[in-house]
Amino acid sequence: MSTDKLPFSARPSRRWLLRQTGMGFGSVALTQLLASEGLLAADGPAKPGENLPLDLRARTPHHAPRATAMISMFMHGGPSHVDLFDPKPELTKNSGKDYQGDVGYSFVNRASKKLLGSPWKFKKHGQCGTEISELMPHTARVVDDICVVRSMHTGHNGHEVSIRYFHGGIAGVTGRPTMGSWIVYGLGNESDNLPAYMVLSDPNGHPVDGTHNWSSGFMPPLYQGTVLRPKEPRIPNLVPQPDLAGPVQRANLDLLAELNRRHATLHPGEADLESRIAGYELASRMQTAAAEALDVSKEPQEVRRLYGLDQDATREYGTRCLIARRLVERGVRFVQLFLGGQPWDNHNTIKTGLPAICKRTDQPAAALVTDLKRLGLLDTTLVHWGGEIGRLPVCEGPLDAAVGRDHNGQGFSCWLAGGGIKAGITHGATDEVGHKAVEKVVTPNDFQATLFHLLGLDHESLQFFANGRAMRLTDGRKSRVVTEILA
Amino acid sequence: MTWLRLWERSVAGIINESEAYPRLLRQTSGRFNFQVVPPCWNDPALTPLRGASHMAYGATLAWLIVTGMAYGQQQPVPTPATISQPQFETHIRPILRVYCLDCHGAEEKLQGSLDLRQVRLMQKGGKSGPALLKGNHNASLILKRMKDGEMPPGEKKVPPSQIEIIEHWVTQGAPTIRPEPEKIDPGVAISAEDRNWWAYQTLNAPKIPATNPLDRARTSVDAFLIDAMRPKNLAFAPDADKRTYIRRVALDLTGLPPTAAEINGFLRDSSPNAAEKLVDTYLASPAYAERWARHWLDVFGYADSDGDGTNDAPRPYSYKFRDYLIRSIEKDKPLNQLFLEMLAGDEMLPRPLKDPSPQQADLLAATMLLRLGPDATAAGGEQVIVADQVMADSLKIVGSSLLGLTVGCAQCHDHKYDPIPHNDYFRLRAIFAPAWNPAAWKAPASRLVSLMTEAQRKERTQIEAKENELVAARDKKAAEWIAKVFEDEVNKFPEKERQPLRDAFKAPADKRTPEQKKLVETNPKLNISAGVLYQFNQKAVDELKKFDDELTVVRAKKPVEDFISCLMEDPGLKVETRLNNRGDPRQPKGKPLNPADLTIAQSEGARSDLPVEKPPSGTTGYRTAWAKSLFTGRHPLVGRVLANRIWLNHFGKGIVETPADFGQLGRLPSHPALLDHLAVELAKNNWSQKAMHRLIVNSTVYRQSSTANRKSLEQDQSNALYTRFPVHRLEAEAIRDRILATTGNLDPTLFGPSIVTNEDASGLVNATSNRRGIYLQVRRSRPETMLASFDAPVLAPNCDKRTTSNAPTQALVLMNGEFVRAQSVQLAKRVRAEAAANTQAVAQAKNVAPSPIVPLPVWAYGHSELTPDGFTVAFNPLPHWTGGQWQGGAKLPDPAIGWVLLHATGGHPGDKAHAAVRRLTVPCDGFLEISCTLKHASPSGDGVRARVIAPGKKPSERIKAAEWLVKNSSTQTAARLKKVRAGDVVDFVVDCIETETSDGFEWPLTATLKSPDGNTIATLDSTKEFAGPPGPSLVAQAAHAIELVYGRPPREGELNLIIDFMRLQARQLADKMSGPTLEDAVVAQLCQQLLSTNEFLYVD
Repeated sequence: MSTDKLPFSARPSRRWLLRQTGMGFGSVALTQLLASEGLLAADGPAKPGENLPLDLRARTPHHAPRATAMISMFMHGGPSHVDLFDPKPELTKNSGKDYQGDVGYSFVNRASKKLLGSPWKFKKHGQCGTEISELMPHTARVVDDICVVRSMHTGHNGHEVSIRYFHGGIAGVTGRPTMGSWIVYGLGNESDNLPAYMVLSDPNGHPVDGTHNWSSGFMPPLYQGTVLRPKEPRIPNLVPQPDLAGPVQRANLDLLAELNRRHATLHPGEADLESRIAGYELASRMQTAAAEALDVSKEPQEVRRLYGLDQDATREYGTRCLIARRLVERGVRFVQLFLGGQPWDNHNTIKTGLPAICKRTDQPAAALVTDLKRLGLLDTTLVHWGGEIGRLPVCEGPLDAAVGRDHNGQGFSCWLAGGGIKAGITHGATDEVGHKAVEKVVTPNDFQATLFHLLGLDHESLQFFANGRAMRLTDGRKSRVVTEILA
Repeated sequence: MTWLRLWERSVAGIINESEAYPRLLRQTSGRFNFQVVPPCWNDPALTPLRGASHMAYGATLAWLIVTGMAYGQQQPVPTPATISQPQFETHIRPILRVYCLDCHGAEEKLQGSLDLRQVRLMQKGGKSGPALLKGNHNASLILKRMKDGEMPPGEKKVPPSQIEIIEHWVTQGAPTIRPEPEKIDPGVAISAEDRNWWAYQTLNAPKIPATNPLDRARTSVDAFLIDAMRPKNLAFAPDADKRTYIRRVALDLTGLPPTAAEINGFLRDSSPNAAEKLVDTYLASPAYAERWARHWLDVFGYADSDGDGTNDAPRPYSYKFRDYLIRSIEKDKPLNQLFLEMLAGDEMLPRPLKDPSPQQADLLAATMLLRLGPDATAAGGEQVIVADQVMADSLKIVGSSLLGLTVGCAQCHDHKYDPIPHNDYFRLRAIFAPAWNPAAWKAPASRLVSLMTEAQRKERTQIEAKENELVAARDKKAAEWIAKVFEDEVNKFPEKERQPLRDAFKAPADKRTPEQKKLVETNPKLNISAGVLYQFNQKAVDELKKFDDELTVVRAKKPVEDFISCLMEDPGLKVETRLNNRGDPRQPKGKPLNPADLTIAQSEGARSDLPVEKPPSGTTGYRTAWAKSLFTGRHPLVGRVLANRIWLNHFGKGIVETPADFGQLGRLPSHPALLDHLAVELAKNNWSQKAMHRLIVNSTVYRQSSTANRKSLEQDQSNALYTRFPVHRLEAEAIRDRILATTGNLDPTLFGPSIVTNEDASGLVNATSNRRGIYLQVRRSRPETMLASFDAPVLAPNCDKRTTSNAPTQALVLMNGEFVRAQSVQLAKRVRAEAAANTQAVAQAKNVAPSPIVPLPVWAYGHSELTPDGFTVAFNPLPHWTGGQWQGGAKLPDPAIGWVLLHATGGHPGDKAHAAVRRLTVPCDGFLEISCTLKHASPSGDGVRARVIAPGKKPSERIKAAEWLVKNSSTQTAARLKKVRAGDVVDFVVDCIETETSDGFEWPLTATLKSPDGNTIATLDSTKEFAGPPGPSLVAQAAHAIELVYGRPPREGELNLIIDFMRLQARQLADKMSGPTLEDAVVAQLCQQLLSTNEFLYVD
């Protein structure tokens, strides 16, 4: 790799270049840029039976990418699509009546067939006229920049089962690398001093399914997500003692690396030992780079306001969205934000629970799109907002003030933006009450194939050999690049 | 409602068709020579290990023979068309089970009266007529409905590839392998094909494969592994060297590194059974029990908190279970006994239980196993649901520890992949239900059993009576004093005011007249209480204090009530368990179920209820009966599961890599015959865990080197065949323990309440304790930060296998974390203190280090006789260092040189023949300026004389540069010397004038070296640079540090590498510190790096 011979500071940062040249980077330009950085020169696709080199060097994609990074705002619990993104006049009309079709419930004891019309109003927004609920006023404002997919479908009502489907490619199965791991394995990192795959965790604790959400499964731990703590210090032990920083620490790390190398030569073939050597180097560079990247205090006032850092309700999630942008700007490949517990899991009191979580996340999520666009980064950054399931059109429990909605893996919505996604459109549809996806159904595997495609990866070709077999994210199951939503 | 509950309920649809079906096919396909490989052939979770080796040894097993699995063949890419001859049992029924049988067979009520459980019944059909016409796929309704997408209803349709198989089967006349019985029991029965799964096969001792001497087999374990390697022409690696071996064994068996004495003893022991003796020594140590208890605690889900949401209330008595487990493992309590006690310890005790003895308390503590999972029943919520969750979690813990099956999947419906009917789950639960007693559920705090004896209770009552007496007496006395003092004070008022005051203060506060109220308010000093008596009368205070002292003594005698947290079944209780419809505890259904083990764990047709005998407790005896039935040696799962877990903990990987799932969705055993052999041996050796350790640890597979040779790397890359010892990282607690042991700070105290962990302002959770990790409090929601970063388990509810992650956060913990830094400083101290005694290290240091790493000390401390004109005669170093000062010997005055001593700021001269001398060796050329204060404090002495003796013009010449006298006074001592050169010596001499009595002096010297133009080159400070005798050389310290950390001497070139490092660090730190402080800092930096290396963090 020619770039390795240059000191890092002498290389033009791709992100920086993109910023300088503004918007409108097509794939051709990007390919040229990649070539100019020598990134298309080496590291061709792995030969059959061979893995890509197990490191984090930036790699040539399978084809010219539209996006180079991705931010996923994962909305654990099942956001109620019929109250947010998928208006259903029939449902409203028949609210309180019994539903005639069959319903797959999770909570049989509170199951009801009584339809529950959305208590919230929908309105057309933007040039495109996509209808968005009044609970999402900020998202409504960026509606011309996003694509709402209304036909998501996992076929499973459970949280974990669907979460694992989205992350690992197979419903319910753990022990597989997450999509972030695959992306980082396939593309490497653009940053030399930040982890390629970062997870921004929530002050209310780990999301459901815990560390499986960022596990590297059968891939080496090099590809697992690095979790940032929800509050300062976001990375514990990041700062060395003042008198041991700088050259003293450098000398320490040099000795450590040499001792580890000598040890590793006695144990050839132990990838874990090798990756731990790299881990120290990364950690050392992270000390300065991460501290800088995580510090949002120097962001201009208007940017801080944009993300809602001036309000109690949005400050926390807004700060994380802003950090996500700063990370991607600095070359981090894949950033995922989680929520603690399941704020979208509105089994009861949806009338108060849903507005509360919308209030917390709507403005920051929309700000991320606005801000990336302002910086010219939206073209090359995929933004995803969505959960693992949606919610049923029928009541859970009696139709009273405490009414809620049960799980629904049959049909739900998510939205995507940037990175080659066609803006200002909706895709697919659920049935007239919003229970099942009926038009242009998108499964998690389709979703993965599509995002891979935009990142320059082919989900069939990106393989990892483990235990003597070729593994793929979509794992040979029917998966389709959803070309209708590509710009 | 927790996520776990949702998970249990949603698990029905856990895997969709394309994932699960082919596995079922594959399981049995070989027998009929079908070339079937599933479309998901590359899913690790679903695919068995393949390769010639697998067949070679696997074929010896009954289950492989039964199923005829042909592992040896390379399987081509799958297509349904390759199934030439589908059979109902092997190919069709698994499809129907996933898509159809829920409505057409599983329940007594059949949808459309159609039963699809048998071909015969399919032919008979339901309301719409026959579902199947043999040979005619066009007329078979079952196919038509599937093709039309009409059936099954809902989203999930049968994939075309599977319809194609059914069609093919119908066309061929819908064959079955065996004739179908005329009558079948309700529900989806367990089929012969289900029974063929490897994990349910009767445990028979497999034949031990033959080996030859060149194979180097030491134990039967080796024979099985060699047998698997042979087809690939592979062999074990050579034995690990003795140092590596002892390190491995010590860390594996005790979780602690071997001590130097243990290493040396083992190296010297050339007897042929030295290794075996070593193993026995470690197995006998309490550290072994702590280490292996920790392994079990993972799968048992041990925690010191309830896990009830944000509160996460501490469980103050869980530790008794942990201690029970450690004690049991230490004495090698057979696993059958151990599990019997943990599952049913309370049933061995009489009821009502009076005055539990320590042994009885232990049996109660054991039952905490069934209470270890999270329990949120104290936190509110719908009790019946929350309690149901607790029971489900506990059953999961039991299931993953003993049965190795995901029994929880059958909580809501028949297990979709493993033969665990819905009924079986609740029969299993019925074993525990009387103890949990969901109808009268007890939250954690109500499950405590007091350990107080009757006698203690009586004693407590007596003491309390005495206490009350004393309190009453004291109060009476206080009242008397208060009255007296009040009267005294009132009497100080004019006569006529006295009575109104008395009345006002005596009246109850709410009954005072306005005038009285005013009187009270305006005369606060009359408000006499016991607390203010001291202001008026000391006698009163003294008298009352006697009562308080006596109370303190009496109260101290009161016995403290201790508790145990456990599961205790009430005798005579009848608790009915029914199946919960869809797992919902509010929808019990059907007849009460008898307690029983899983059907699949019993041989076919042998299904029977537990052989229950009434235990001494008068309780149901269900748990006792079940526990006993598990350990007959015939249970197909228990032995395999336990043996696999022990193996897993020795090698860092299991024979079955999914230790808690031996079912369809788990991984197949890498060495099935070996697993069976171990399971058989376990029972044969009376379930002794230590015997199992010996069998494994004394084998060649365990003793071999971890270094891969070319062949092993090429042909056994992932080390699946064990052609080298698997290198694996230590677990979180072991890393922490090893650091503490290495620095010499490990507190080996055994047992007791868990050490409380605290969360600091930044959210880091730590415990200030040097005890082993197993004793640190485990709060489910607030894990200890360092342990968590190294993958300490997340307990929701338990951890059946630890992960080994490699995140940059771990590097940061080691680089910057407070714990590691503090321990490195400690280790540096230990190294400094011990290195001189390490003769080998000292010798090595001499060989490799040509010049000192840290600059030589500039000050030396001695005494000298003086010439008549005050010049030193000879510099004699003071021989004795007290730790704070230099002097003639341990005692003063020293018989030879008297009172002469020197400390950081001054000293004391001896008699006229023994002046105190500090000698400065000039480090570089320059002009030396001295400015400091000389002080003689005592009025008794006759004063001291201070002189500076400097080099003269010629090398041999000495000159007296300055001289001062002080007596009970102080003076400025400033002097400027002529040019001095590096290596010149300047003596600072203090003598006693005439007598040395009371001649202590202070003379903290500051000498500045300046260039000709007056710039400071160096400042020399006698106080800061004051030092005791030089430590062992830094190189010797480095060599010793390596030995302490790694348990081996330095390797070739290692010391040179470290010398360069130390020189660099000494240079870089020199402007911040000097002398011994600098040395210590450099060594501490080295120690921290050594503690962070892979060699330290991994077992190899």
